[in-house]
Amino acid sequence: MASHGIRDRVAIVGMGCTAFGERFDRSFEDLAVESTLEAAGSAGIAVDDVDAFWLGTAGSGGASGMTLSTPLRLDHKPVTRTENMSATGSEAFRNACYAVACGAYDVVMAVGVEKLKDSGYSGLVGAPAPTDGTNPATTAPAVFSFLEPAYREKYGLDEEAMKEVISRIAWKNHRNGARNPKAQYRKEVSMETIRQAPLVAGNLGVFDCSGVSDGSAAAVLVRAEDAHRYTDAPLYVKALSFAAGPGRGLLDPGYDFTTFDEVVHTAQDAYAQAGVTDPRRELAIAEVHDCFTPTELVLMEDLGFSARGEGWKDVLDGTFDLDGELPVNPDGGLKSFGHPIGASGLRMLYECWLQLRGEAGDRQVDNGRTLALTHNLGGQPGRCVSFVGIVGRERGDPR
Amino acid sequence: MAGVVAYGTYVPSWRLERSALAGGGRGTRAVASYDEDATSMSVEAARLALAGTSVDPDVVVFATASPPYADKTNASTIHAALALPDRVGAYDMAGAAQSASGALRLALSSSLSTLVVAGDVRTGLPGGADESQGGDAAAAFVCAPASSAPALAEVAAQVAAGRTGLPYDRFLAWRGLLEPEPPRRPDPEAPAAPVTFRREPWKFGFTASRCAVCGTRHLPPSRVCLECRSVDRMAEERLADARGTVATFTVDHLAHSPSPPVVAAVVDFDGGGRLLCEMTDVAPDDVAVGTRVAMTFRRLYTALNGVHNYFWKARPVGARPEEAG
Repeated sequence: MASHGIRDRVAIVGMGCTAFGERFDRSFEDLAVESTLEAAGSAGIAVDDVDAFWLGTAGSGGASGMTLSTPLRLDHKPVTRTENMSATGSEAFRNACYAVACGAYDVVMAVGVEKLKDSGYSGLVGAPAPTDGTNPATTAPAVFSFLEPAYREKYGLDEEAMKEVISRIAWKNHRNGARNPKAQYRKEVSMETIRQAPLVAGNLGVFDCSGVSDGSAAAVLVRAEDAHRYTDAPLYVKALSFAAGPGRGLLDPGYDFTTFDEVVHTAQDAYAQAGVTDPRRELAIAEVHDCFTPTELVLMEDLGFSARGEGWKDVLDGTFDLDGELPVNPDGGLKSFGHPIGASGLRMLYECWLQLRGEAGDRQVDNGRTLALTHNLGGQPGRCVSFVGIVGRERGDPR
Repeated sequence: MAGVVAYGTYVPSWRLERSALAGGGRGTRAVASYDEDATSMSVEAARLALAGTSVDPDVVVFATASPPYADKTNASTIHAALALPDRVGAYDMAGAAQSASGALRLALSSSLSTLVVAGDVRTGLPGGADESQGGDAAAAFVCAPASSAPALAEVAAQVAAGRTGLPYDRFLAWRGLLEPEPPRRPDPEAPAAPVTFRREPWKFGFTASRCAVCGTRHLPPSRVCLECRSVDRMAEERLADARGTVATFTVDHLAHSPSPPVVAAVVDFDGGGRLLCEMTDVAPDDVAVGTRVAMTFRRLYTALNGVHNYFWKARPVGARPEEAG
């Protein structure tokens, strides 16, 4: 039993992404139509040319694959609907890749759509399933805020120093988002404004939280050997790793809230699949799940970009800035691009698509590297799902 | 003829100064917190009473003039929260002030061992005599044929241990006499009856499980062991009286609560196991990593359909006089 991966067997040949944000002018269906048309167009095909679809949505648009087939008026095409919390978009992409790799279809599409703002509520709202009423009322910022004091105490940072570190992450992601016409928040924000913002949970202020938003993104996938029929610059899928955790951290007093076991596991698996040994120096960019600023800090260590306990120094040194050694979230991340749950994993991939093809405009990274990583996380510290994917511009020998 | 063999009282920790009332006055009155009612306070009094005797009651009688449910049993909630066996009966005597003395009189003339629990939230209207002269509390008596009367010492200590400084407007909001702006969050759902039925030992009895193979404790109970993956080798373990330590905590300004903000903590229990739960009877500034906690039975909220959602919360140890020293 082993995770073998499907390196260089599948290629991305087209992508699309809507503007994210409070899209009160667009329905779930509108967003789905726009991202899929853009993705098909960029691959030089019609939506009808796609053989099968994987739709990722955490809870929008009703139920079943017909939430996609009806607005697109698809004729009897298979649509698989996936849900895996905030990693839903990556999950749609991962399963679509396998369908191509195994030869079941020639052309498939992975689509992520989420419509969150119509509810009128603040923050994210869980799916209403009947319960015994014993689950705590805590919100996402509250459970992720556990990372902040835990990291601080483990590595000897005082409250002020830690606030500087997490504010620096928000500052960077807003700075990147300001250069992204599709981002929810396209404005630079000063360190002072970030630090002074009202608290949402624990020591997390408003600017430490990602944008709740509407949006959609989509990718067209074909077998690697067919890729050049559709584009001169395809991306090859190097690694796909997914893990659903047992919930250890919420049961076991040994868990200290400074890491995500699930992320460590998926990162190691993905690096092995892709043959990556030094991610900080081999990756052109990384798109990571910065749902809250301390999450991005911890991820730098879990993904092996920083040594344990050193991530905060790398953040302050600008290692992950747009012009840093390894740019992280050059598109603004969840923080600034926004987080429409089911679309986020494919949105991350969209930035890899633009960056590795030299189409990222004002925020183009040019460090001569050809690999990019996406990381998607769902749940909370101690109990989560994690995805790590790696794509690249160059095709090696398939495995 | 039976006698009282053990008793327990529960005076909630909040005190409202009468000078803050619409009608004025001197001194204070005891106030049930937003997450307490006659049922939850009675559970706390009964826990103390049962801890003071080896007598196992044959029947529980709950007397109150402020029943959380008028046409639905409250006594069975108390029965479940005390994790009493199925053979123990649970009956309500509700609606009149003399229900409690009546219940006690019946118990003392009975050949059965009886747990009599009485609790009330006396609110009245702003400016009225009930608001000023009333108070919120519960008392429990274990009545059994063999009699050795206990000393009445702890009531005075509980009365003395109150916390003043409760703003009058918050008191009114807790009692539904003032409606503050609600959060922009969904109204909490009522607990579903079938799920509650399946999980009764956990939800009401705070009964966790411990793996008989490797000893790992699971809150809530689990069929498969986290550590050794043994299946259905768990022993039930009630943790209502267990103490724990705050491993980490947060103040959640976004979460829905009848009295925001929510203080939530990850509690590591003595003897193993961990739970993420709400805290109560605590100001955000009074909790820290390492704070020692005990569990208390509370009403988390009342759903729009009128169903009360009861569960356990953590509260700092030492807040109650019987825990001093």
